[in-house]
Amino acid sequence: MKLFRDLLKDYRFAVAFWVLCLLLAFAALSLFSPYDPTRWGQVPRDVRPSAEHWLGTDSNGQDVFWNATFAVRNSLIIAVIAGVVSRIIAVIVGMVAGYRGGLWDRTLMFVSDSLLVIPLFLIIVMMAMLIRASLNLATLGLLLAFFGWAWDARLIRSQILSLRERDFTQTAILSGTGTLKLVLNEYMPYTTPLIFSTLINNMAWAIGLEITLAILGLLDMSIPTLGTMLYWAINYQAILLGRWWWVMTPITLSVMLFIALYWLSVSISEYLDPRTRVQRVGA
Amino acid sequence: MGDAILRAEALRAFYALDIYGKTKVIKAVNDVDLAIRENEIYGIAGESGCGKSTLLKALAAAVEPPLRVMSGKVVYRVNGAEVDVAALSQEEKRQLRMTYIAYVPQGSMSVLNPVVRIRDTYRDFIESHLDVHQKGEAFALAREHLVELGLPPKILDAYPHQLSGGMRQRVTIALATLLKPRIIIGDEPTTALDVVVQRGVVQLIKDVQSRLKNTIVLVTHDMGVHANIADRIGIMYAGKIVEEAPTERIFGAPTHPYTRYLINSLPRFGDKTPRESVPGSPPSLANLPSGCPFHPRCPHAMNICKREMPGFTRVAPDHRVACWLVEEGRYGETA
Amino acid sequence: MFLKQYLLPRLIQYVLVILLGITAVFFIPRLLPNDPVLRTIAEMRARGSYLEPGAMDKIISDLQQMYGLEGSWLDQYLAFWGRLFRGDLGVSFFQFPTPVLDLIMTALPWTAGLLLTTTLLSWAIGNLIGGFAGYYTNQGWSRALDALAMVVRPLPYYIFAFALLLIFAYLLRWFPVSGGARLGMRPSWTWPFVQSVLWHAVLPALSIFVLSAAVWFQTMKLVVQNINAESFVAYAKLSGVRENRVVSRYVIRNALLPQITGLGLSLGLIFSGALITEIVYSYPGLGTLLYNAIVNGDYNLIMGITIFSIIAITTSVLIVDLIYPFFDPRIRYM
Repeated sequence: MKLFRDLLKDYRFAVAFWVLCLLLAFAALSLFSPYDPTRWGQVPRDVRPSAEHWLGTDSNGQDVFWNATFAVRNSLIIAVIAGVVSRIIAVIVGMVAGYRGGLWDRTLMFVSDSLLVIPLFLIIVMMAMLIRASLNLATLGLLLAFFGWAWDARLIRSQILSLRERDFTQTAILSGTGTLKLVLNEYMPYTTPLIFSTLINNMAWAIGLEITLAILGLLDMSIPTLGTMLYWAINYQAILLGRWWWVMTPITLSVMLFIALYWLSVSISEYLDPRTRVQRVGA
Repeated sequence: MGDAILRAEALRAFYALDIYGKTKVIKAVNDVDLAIRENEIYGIAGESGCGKSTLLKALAAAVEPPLRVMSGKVVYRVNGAEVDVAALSQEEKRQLRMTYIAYVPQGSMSVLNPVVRIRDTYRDFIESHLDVHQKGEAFALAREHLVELGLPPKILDAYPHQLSGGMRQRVTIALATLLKPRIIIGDEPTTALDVVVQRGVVQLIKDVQSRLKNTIVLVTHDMGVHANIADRIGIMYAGKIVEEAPTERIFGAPTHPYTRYLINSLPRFGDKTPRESVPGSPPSLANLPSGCPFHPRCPHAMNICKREMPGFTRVAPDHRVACWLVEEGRYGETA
Repeated sequence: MFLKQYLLPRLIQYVLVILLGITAVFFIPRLLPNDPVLRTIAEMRARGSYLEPGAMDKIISDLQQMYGLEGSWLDQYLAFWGRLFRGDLGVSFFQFPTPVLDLIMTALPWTAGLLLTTTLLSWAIGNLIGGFAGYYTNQGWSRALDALAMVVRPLPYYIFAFALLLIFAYLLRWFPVSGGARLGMRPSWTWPFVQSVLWHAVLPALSIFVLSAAVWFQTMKLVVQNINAESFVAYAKLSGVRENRVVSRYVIRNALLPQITGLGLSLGLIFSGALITEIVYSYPGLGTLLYNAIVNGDYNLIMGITIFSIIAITTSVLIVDLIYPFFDPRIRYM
C-alpha cells in the first residue's frame, strides 16, 4: 500500500497511527476483563495504584484499569456508529445536492446550513434530558449521527460540483452511463479519501459531545464510557480527595484520542491537497 | 538594434522538490545562452512545459525556492554598466522592477488584487518606486497614459472583477510601461484572450515599443504573434534554446528539425495539404533523454545525437542552431 | 441587484431558521416518548415531596398549563408563539415562580461579556499571527507555533478549562476558583467591583481565547499559504511592491474574507464551548444556569435558554453576513 507508506513518512500520521493502535489494543483488552463493568463493589474502594490494581480502584468499587478498557471500547463504538451513519447521510445529501443542483441543492443546503447555525449542543441536551434513561450506545450514536452530517455534506457537495465540471463526467453521460452508476463508480475514488478524513473529524466531535453529555449527567451512567467515568469521578469529588488515578485515566485517554484523531485527519487531508503535497524544499 | 541589454550566460535553473522522501530535480532551464538587445522585440517560442516561464523568472531575477539558479548568470546593462543580477541585494532588485525591467503577466482571472480598486493598485505600484512629491505627477501621468493607450480613465475607479479580460490585460500593459522601463517581459500576454482582443493587445505592444524604443521579451507558444511583432525569435525545447534567428529566417528557413516541424504545422491560406506536427510528446523535464533532448522524436537522429548535446553553429549572420546535422555538415541528408 | 442576490436570501434564511429551530424546540418534548408532566411529578416524588392524591389532578393541570400542554397541538403551537412575542418564556420550575426570561437576563451580561471579548480578540489575534506565520511559513517560529497549535487545538474546551483551573487556581492560587465576582459583592460600577470581575474573568477568558485562537491561527495559516501562491501576489512582487505592503494589502486583506465567513459558521460551536467553560468555572453566565437547570430537572428553563440561544446565534450570524460585503467588493458590486 503505497498510500500508507507515504502517509507514514509524515510524523504526525505515524504518531497518531501508533497511538490509535495502542488505544484499540487497550479497548480489545476489555474482552479479557476479569471484572464485570456494570457491577459495583467488586473490589475494595479507592485503592491507590498497586500491583494488583494497576490503576487503582474507584469509589464505586471497580478496578480503574479494566473499567477504562470498557470505557475506551464503548466511546469508540459510539464514535464509530455516529461517524458511519452520519457519513452515509452526508454522502447522500452531498451527492444529491451536488449532482442534481437546482431545487434539490437549495433545499438540502438550507437544511444543512440551518443545522450548522442552530446551537446543536442545546438541542441535544434537551433531547438527552428526556430520554436519558434509554440513551445506550446505539441510540446515542444515532442521535449524534442525526446532527453531525451538516458540515461534511457541504464539503462533499463542493467536491461533487467540481467533479461534475470535469470532462470525464460528460464522456460518461454521453456514453449512456446511468446516474447512480456514474456517481458510484466514477466519483467514489475521488470522494473516498475526503469521506475518510471527515469521518475521523466526526468521530472526534462525537466523542467530545459524548463526554460533555456524560459530565452533565445526561447519559445512562451504568455504561462505562470515557464520559461516564469522568462523571463519577467528579461526582465523588475525586480531585478534592486526591484520587488522581481515577480522574487522570479518562482525561489522559481522551486527550490521547483527540490528539491522535486530529493529527490523523490533518495528515490525511494534507496528503490529499495537491498544493501541500509538494512540501519541502530539497537542496 | 543596439547592444545586449539583457544577457544569460550558461544559465541553469532547476527545481528541487522533495515529495514524500523522493527528490525530484526538474531541469527547467538547462544551459541557456541569450543576448537580448536594446530596441528590439525578442520572442521566445516553445510548447508548454519547455521551461519558458522559468526562463522568464530567471531573467526577471525572481528566483525563489524551490527554484534555484544552479550555475551561470543573468546580466543586466543598467545605465551603461553591466550588472550581474546575483550580486544585487533584494532591495536593489526591487528598485529595478518597473523602473528598469517590468513584467506583463498572463492576464487570466486574477492578476490584480480583487479587493482594491485599480487606482489603488496603481498607487501601490507607484508608491513603491517614486517619492512623495513625484506621486501627484505620476498619477496625472497615469491618467494620460491610459488615454494614450486607448483606455477610459474611469477604469481607475473600477474593481478588477468589473473589467473584461481584455481590459485587465491592457491595464497590466499600462502598468508595465508607466515608468518607462528599458526591458518589458511578457509571459503569454495574449493567451486567454479572444482573437479580436488579441489583435488589439498585440498592436498595443508594438506601439509601446516603437514609442519607448526599449526591449520587449515576449514568451508565447502562438507563432502567429511572433510572426506579427517579433524581430528575433528563440525556439526553446526541453529547457534549451535550440535555434535563434531573425523572424523572417525562422519562418523562411527553419533549420532545426523541431523548428521545421513547428513552422510546417502552421496552416496556410490556400494550402489544403494535411499539416504534420511533431510526433510523440515533449520529454519530462525531470527525466531528460541523454545527449540532444529532441533525439527521441527526431526523424534525422544519428548516433551522436544520443550521446552528446550539440553546441551552436552559426548558419548565417545572426542565425544560430544547436543540431548535429548542421554541425557535422550533414544537413539535408535523411536518416 | 446586490439586495436581491445577497441580502434577500439571507434574510429569508434567517427567518426560516428561527422558525424551524423554535418549532423543533416546541416539538421535541411532545414527540419523545416521555411525558414531561409525568416526569416532573416523578422527579418531585424522587426528591421526597409528598403529594396528596386530591392535589394530584390540580398539579397535573397546572403543570400542563405551565408547560403549554393544554389543548390540541395547533392550539399549543399558536399559544407558544403568542407567548414568545410577548417575551414570555414561561417560568422556571425549580426557582418557582421566577420567569425564565428574568433568569436569562441576569446571567446574560456575564456570558455576553466573556463571549464577545474572547471571540473578537481570539479572531483578531489568531488571524494576525496566523497570517504572518503563513507568509513566513518556513521560519522557525512559524513552525514552532504550528506544532503548539497541533497539540492545543484538538483539546475540548472542558479539558483545557479544567487544566487551567487545576494549575492556576488550585495549585498556584493565582486566580479564584469560581464565580464571577467575589461572593457578596453587589454589582455596581465601582472600581473594586470591576476589578473583581476582571480578575475572576481571566481564567475562563484565557481558556476560551487560547483554544479559539489556535483554531484561527491554523486556518489562517493555511489560507495565507494558498493566497501566497495566487497570481496577484506574484505580480505585485514582480512589480516591486514593498514586502510589508504585499503582506498587508495583498495577502492578509484577501485572507480575511474566508475567515469572516468562517467566523459566522463557527459561532454556534464557540457558543457551546463558552457555555461548557462557564460550567467548569461556575461562572455565573448562561452555562452555569443551564447546568443547574439540568441538575434540577428544570425543563422550562432549558427550553427558554435554547430558544434564546437560537435567536441570539442566528442573529449574530446574520450580522456577520451583513458585515462581509464591506470587505469584499465582488459582492458589493456584482
